[in-house]
Amino acid sequence: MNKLIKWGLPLAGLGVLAAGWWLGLAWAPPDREMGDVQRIMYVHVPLQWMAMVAMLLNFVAAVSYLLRGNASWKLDSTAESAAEVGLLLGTLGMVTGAIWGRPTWGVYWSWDPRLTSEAIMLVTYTGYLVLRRFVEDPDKRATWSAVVAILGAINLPIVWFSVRWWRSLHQVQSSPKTVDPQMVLPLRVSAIGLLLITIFFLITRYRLALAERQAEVALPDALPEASGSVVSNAHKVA
Amino acid sequence: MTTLMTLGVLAQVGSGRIQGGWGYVWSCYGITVAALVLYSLSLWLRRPQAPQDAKE
Amino acid sequence: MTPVARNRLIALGALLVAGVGLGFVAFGNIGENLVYYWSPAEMLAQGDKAYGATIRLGGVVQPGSIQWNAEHTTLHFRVANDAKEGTASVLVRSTETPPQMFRDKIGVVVEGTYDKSGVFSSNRLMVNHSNEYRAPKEGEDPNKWRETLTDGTTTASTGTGAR
Repeated sequence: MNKLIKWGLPLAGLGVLAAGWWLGLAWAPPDREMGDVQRIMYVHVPLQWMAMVAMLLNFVAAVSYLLRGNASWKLDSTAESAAEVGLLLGTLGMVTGAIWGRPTWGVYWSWDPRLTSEAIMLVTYTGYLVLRRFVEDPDKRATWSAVVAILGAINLPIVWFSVRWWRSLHQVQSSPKTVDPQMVLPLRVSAIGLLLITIFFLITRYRLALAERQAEVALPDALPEASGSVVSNAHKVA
Repeated sequence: MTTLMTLGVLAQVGSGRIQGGWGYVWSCYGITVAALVLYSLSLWLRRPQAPQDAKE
Repeated sequence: MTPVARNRLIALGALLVAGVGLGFVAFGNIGENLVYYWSPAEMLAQGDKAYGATIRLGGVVQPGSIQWNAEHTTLHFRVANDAKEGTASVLVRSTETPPQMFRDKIGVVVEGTYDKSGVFSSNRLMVNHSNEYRAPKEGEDPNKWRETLTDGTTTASTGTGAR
């Protein structure tokens, strides 16, 4: 199982992503108006989707952490990994979007509702990760950062619906109705490939975070019995 | 004279617009691949040092 | 208070704040106070207040209104409320290089100032793309297609004669 995740998942992800990108770059037609620049879609859109998925996972993990109440380091680690992976994907999404914007809109950047809310999102999760760095006590860190995660998540629906709620430079979401099938296919394949890679990143980063947490909370009395005892120890620390 | 001017204008039309091209496409894919590779590397460098006890 | 109860209370508090905040953004009228751009009709309705301030004006390029000067450095066109004829429109003067898709009837957002002479001087010209992505039609090459497009606008400019 472990090996499957360690090797199978990234290899499958790379394979599917390569297939999707090949379809997008070589097989799919260029856009009627935009020409070849439209092919940026197959990297930009999956990145933004996966960033959204990761941020939602961060929110769910943060809420669950607080509601569970009993310092679940697994949930805390999930939240941490999701924020970091989401920040990476979101930043790449923004960079690719800016490059796409230059020949299409004429500008790399404009403070339109979509781009502004996206920028706020990236700043929020950067702040989230910085906060986690600065708080030494694992229990306080988990609680405080969960609050930041929940407040930061307000922005996620705003990012998504900004193009519908307000006038913006960014167009509204496309759907299979507005995109030719030869372009929908590479987009979907690329998205699945990136999803697999995202899951691989999340799992790897989660294990890293969990190992750190367990090292932190197990310090006082190292009795590696089960993760349950580690959790109750954490409470004595708090 | 007017035709000459029209020709001159025509010659500049191409540069009169920001032209999209494969350069933009390759930069997007290149930056993304590079960042994903670097992130994988950072995950590997940060891997838990102690051999993880076989859970799960 | 036990840590469990405290954390649950924190969760409920944070969710409440988040929900109220989101509701405020979604259903409050932030959108009306912070518009990204004004339509020509809205800007003209402002009257004198629209003069001088840096604003964004958005609409579509009125068909047949694109005019370049001889050196191809300055561009004049009209931004209309929509592609229909007879809607409110504003003359725009731009020194910015337009992006490749700039043409008649395409959505544009220009940033700049409107003055008493009725000309909107833009130093930032942006083109709105729709959410449609289509393959070229049979026997159509997008690059060639764009060439004919640019030719068309030049003819228009020489035809109407830029001032």
